[in-house]
Formats: sequence, C-alpha cells, structure tokens
Amino acid sequence: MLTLSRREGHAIRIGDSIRIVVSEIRGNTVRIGIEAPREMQVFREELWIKIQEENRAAADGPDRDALDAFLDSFVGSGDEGDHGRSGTEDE
Amino acid sequence: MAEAELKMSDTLSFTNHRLGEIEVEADAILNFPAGILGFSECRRFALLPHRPGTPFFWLIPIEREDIAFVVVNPENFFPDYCPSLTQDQLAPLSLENDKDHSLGMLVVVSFRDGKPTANLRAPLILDLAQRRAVQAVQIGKEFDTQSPLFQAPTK
Repeated sequence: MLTLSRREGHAIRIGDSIRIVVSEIRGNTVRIGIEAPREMQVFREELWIKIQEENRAAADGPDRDALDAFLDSFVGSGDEGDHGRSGTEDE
Repeated sequence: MAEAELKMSDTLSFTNHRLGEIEVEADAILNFPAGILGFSECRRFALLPHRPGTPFFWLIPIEREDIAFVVVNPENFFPDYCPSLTQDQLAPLSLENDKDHSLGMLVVVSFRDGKPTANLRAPLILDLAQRRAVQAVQIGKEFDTQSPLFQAPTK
C-alpha cells in the first residue's frame, strides 16, 4: 500500500479524475473530502462491506422450488387447494 | 418458419444453475453499468417474474451461472418506504432530459434460516424505458440491510 503524509488542506490525486483532500484533522478523527466522477460510488468501507455481504447472501438464495415451497408455507394453512396450482398456471 | 427464426434472433438464451435454461427477449435485458457490489463482473441481468400472482421476481445475471437474486417490489411489503435518491446515485443511469425515464424500484431479498429479509439499505433503481439499473446504496442509517419481509401483525 502506498502511504503518504499530508497536512490539513493538502490533497492527493488519483489519476486524472479523483482528488482526495484532508479537510480537517481533529484529535483522532480526519475529515476527508473526495472529488470523483459522479458515476463512481464512494462509501465508507464498513458500508461497502455490509452491502457486499448482503448481496452475496442474497445471491446464494433458494432455487425456484425452494422459493415455491417457502411461499406455500406462508400462503396459509387453510388453503389446501393450493396444490392444484401447478396444474393450472399454464393456462 | 422464417418468422420463428427471426424471433430466435431476438431472444437470448443462457443457463442458470438455480433456474435452468433462461430465454429472454434481448431488449428485456437490464444493464447495471456500475454493477452490483460484490459482483462487479455481472453487468447484464434478466428480470423474470417468479410465478403469476406472487410479488417475487428473479434477477439473473447473464455473466454468472451460479447465482440468482430474489427481488421484490418494496411497495408490496413496505408501503411507506421512500429511499433518498441523489443525482450522484442515479448517475450510472445516465438520465438524459430528452428521453423517457420511468423509474421503478426493487429490493433484494435474502433468506436466512427460512426468514426472508429485504435490503432496504441498497434498493435497485430501474430505468425501465432505457433498461438500465443501479443499486442506490443509502448512506444514512435509517434503512436496514435485513428488514423482515413479513412482519408480525401489529393490530
């Protein structure tokens, strides 16, 4: 990892399109300003990891039958006629 | 016969391990120019309803056979849900003033221990006319990544 020392108000450029400014240093907190192309998503790493993990969990979900079984279990105990569904849905 | 062949050229066929053979109209493909976090290699997806009469859809990447997302329209489960959408978040959609942009919204569903939850922290915003979509991550903490899809009745 490249490590640079910067003072308050100093900046770092990444390529042509990204500028990172150390806008304030107070105690053990640093405020950072980021100028980047709009289409580039910028997040705190914790949030980035959280969304990534949630997407991965979602991508590893049920298959079609498992989702059906799940929906059947929710559609209700009283609806015994539900088993005929697979025979009628093609019509 | 010629008509059938013509039709074939307008459809796209691919395989998904969870859903089998998928065939979709080529112009029904959804493009995610910024990808989905964790799956940057996937940019093109098919969006198919699960079954008639259910609010569930499948979002199926063309570039990967081993994954598929269950998604729902949040209106069906979270009627008051109103994420904030900034110009920056929607930038990957390249919204141009002179074009028709009817935006739709979906949220991704996870199943843990048989309990479905929706990721309200990162809704999918769809430009239905231009067939582009973006996962608009919410910076604020007011929305949960795991909001139960079915809540115990409060009344």
